[in-house]
Amino acid sequence: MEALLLRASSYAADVDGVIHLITLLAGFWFIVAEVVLFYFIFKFRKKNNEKAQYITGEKKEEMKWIHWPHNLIIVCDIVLVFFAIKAWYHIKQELPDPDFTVKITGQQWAWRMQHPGPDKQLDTADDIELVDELRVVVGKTYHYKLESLDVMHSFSVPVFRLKQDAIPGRTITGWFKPTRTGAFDIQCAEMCGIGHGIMGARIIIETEEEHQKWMESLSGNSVAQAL
Amino acid sequence: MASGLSFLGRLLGMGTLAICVFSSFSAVARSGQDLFRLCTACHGDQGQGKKDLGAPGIAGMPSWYLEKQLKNFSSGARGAHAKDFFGMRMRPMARTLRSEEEIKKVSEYVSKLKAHRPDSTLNGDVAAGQALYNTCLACHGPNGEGNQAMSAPPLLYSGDWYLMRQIHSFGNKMRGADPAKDPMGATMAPMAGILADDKAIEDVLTYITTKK
Repeated sequence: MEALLLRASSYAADVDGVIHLITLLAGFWFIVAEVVLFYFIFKFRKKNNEKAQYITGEKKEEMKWIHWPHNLIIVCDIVLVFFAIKAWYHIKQELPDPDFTVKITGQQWAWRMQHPGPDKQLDTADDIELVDELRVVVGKTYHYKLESLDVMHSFSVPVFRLKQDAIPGRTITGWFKPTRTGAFDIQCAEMCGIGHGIMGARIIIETEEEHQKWMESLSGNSVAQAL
Repeated sequence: MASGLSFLGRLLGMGTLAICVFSSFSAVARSGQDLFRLCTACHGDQGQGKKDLGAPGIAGMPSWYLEKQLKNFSSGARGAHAKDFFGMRMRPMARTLRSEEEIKKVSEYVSKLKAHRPDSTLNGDVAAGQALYNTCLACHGPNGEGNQAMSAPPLLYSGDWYLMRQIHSFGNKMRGADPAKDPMGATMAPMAGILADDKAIEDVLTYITTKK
């Protein structure tokens, strides 16, 4: 999966693991089903002087072709659900202590990112607000407080394997921990109007020194605006 | 085997053709009318504006002004302030225009649409507004008709509610705060400060709506 899309959060590998497992199990059963299907097509092909039979599927030796795959697929489902819930619980239910908290507000069709300033506290005078740009420090745990000003949006960071709906009137708290530096895409993943497709932004993951320099470059503004 | 390869070859050929056709369609030059279709969702099918969506009337506004504002939105000189809710909505839409040519085309198309005079939504003191307007007329003209030489747009077609919002935006430094990025807006920003309070703004906008 990482060959297709980089991983840049501590839990991206967990999500990829579930996707791999789904692909593996579904792929295995797809191949088995196709092999059986084509084998039967070949085995029971038209033969001279042999009439086709109508099979009701009530005999024990006929029913086993349904029962066994059915039972095995239920076992696979249970395995999948177990690992999916494990990943989901870790990402959505656990909330590790944060190093920083950011506020992310979606609106048609932009993202407003409120970062803590040099005092490292959110909702103070030195906060830094950016439009369509989120700046975070690699290796630090972040809480995000996600809001929407108008309609439903979804804050999606593909390299984090993170997707969280933003719902008007609610503040949703989640977390992430970036694991590599770089600039990556943020997108809206919920249809939110005519500009939905162009509601993109960037997340800049930088080292602590780079982040400090960036904040210093904005000093002098109580609520800095970086265009 | 040979027929299989031949089939594969034909399939690849057809795929290549499909890609070429698709590419040529996507490269077709879009007319001002085509480009305007996207604007109608918020600004109305005649460019008359929709107050409910906070989208001003744009029909009949001069193309030089529309062009400049689209460029400002596109570059982030306007609509990139975190508190500018409506500007942030317009900014990505301006960015759907792929070139200066497209900005020019849609601006010219919109400027030729029949201008609408929106209904007044304010009830200020016309006489007090007239006195205050004396400052504005130097640039915007005695009848609010605008003056390209002063980079001042007409004030008659956007809607008084929109003008009020813009005066507040200039006053709050959400628009025209940076002369390097938006020199036209930076000229207006201190002018907005002349209007002492909401009452003064309402008075002058009410006076403007009386203009023919």
